[in-house]
Amino acid sequence: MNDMEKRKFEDSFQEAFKDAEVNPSENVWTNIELDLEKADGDKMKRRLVFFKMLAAASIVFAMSVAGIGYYVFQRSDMGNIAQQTTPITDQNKLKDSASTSSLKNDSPGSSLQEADTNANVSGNETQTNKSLAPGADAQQRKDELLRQDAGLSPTAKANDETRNGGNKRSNNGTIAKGATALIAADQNPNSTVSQTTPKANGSDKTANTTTSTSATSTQDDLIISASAAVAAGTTRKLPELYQPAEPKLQLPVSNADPGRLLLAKLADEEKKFALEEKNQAKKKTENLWTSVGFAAGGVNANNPSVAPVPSNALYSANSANTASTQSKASGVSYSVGVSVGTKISNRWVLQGGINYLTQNYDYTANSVVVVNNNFASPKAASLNELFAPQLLDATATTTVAQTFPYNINNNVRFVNVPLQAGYLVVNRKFGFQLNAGVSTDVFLQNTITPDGGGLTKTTQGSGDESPYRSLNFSGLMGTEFSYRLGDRYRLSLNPGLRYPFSSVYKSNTGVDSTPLTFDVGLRFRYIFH
Amino acid sequence: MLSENELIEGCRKGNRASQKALYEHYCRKMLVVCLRYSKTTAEAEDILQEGFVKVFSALKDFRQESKLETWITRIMVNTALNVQRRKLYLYPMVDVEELNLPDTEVSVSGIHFSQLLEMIQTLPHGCQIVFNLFAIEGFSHKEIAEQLGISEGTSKSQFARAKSLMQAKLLKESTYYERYGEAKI
Repeated sequence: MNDMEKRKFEDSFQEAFKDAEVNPSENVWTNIELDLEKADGDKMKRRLVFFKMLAAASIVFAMSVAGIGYYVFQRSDMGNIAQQTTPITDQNKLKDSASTSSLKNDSPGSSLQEADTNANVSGNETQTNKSLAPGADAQQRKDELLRQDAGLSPTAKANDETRNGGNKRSNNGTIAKGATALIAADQNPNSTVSQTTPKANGSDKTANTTTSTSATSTQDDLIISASAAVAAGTTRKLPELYQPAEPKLQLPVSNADPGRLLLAKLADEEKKFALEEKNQAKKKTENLWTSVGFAAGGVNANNPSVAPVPSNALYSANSANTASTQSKASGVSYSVGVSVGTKISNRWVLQGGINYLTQNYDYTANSVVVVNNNFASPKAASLNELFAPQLLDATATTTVAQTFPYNINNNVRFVNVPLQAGYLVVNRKFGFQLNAGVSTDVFLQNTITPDGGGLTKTTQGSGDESPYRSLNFSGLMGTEFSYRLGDRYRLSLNPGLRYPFSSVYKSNTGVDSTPLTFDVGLRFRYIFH
Repeated sequence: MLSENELIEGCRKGNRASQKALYEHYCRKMLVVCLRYSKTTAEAEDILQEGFVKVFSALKDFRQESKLETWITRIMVNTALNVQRRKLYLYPMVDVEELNLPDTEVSVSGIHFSQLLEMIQTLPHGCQIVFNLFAIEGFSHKEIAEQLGISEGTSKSQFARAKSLMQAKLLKESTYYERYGEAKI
């Protein structure tokens, strides 16, 4: 048997199974669907686990901060106690001491304090005739206080009863205690509630004692009355007339097939869910938007070449110097504008708009320009003055005279119409986009403001007399970091570069300058749905 | 009727209707593939189910360099092999002796695929897999050896045994027809 014959056997099997088909049972698709649902659910579960972890981490962080804050507060509070404690030997001063100490420590804004606070501390100190020097360790004092016998408690109790005018609410269980504390906190958030915990030192003579003190006796009375009101409220009942009759729910009797009803309900819910999902998806789309923005940055002269139009040697040298100084000056740039953007594909966007751009350059000049020998009113040294008269009138004579150095500010204004394409690298709540495009720059005017007196400020618009090109084109390149706020807004930060394709000055000025602008913009975007 | 590309796109987006349409289109052919690698229909349907879940989750990586049917078949075969590998671990394949059968080639032409399927399913476990991979999927013994983690010689001997058994079954079948003159299905 040769190889051809051998392969023939296998080929015949391939041929036999080529178009073979067998119907699977219907539950195969049901099981596949269930598996797919489960897989989708697992994805959601993973997301849920992430958020749960995030929430847990937040809670742990918040609790840690609260714990540290509480610890720091406690430390500072114990320090205060140590400073305020003074040796008192007279038994008769007990009440005053307790009350005074309590009042001293009830500073406005202090919160709930636990056991062994001011009143108790002062009282105990007094009875034992033991003095601790101010600034002594608070913990040591606390330990000493704990070592005192139950004999101290009656003092506190007596004190409590005196302060509360014989009201017995304080010694009777936790409900009254809790209610009083809560009411005290509600009635006057600035008041202090001090509690003395039972001191288990063997004799077990102390009982739960709650002492409520406040800055003034009026506040204390308020607390007492509020406490009484709460106590009364627990037993009070409304008259019969106001008790509503129990509503009876009559369920309609249905003979419909419960299975069908369930299916119909499921179908309804599915529809509702689909509609909701569609609406949600619509809300998330960002196909068209408009934005307002502001940008600030710097302009770098970027090595201009200067070859001014010569007339005579001295003039040429001075004008070259002026042109060089002016064109090499760097400055600041500000722009404000509006733009419109649209999505042209899943990742690409197109943006256009209109901006008002102003650039300020400062340079130092050491000459002035005199036109037609009018030395009485010299002009500040600038390209405007050097070239405008000659451009307008061929017979005009321009002289450049040396002076002391002085500062000149050149403010140049443009209107830009940018058109940019953007690629969305990240397009989620946080967005990252790369932009590139061109801008049509329309020159508006420039203002020369010389520093100091004598020389006047001049403004020159676009036209034949201006050394600036009326229309120029620049290349734009930048990035956009954005964050979506709700369904309709997005805030973005746009660092970007602007580079003119040709010199901003006219060719007949002899100056070739393409200043590079780097600015960072802030844009607020409104999304249309 | 959606085109194949539209179906693929829909499945990639997780559209259930597109997934069902794709399943409906290929499930019958793929069940035959699964049946070839299993002993029972229930087992084959399990492989089919697992295979299609893999298809839907891996469809985003399908670069359309081959026909979709070929790609799905490949996934089904791999899924079936994964299931069978567990059994192969318990009953590893070893070199087997070839049965002494007449050197005459037996033709399968005219025999319905369902009968062939039954014959394949009755083959010993290792023989069934190697026979499928070599004779029907068209893999070389080297490739089969790599996929199953066996030696090339084992693959060859398993196939030879499978072929001998299949020929014996086919011979028996044809003798039966000749004797009783029943029409082939």
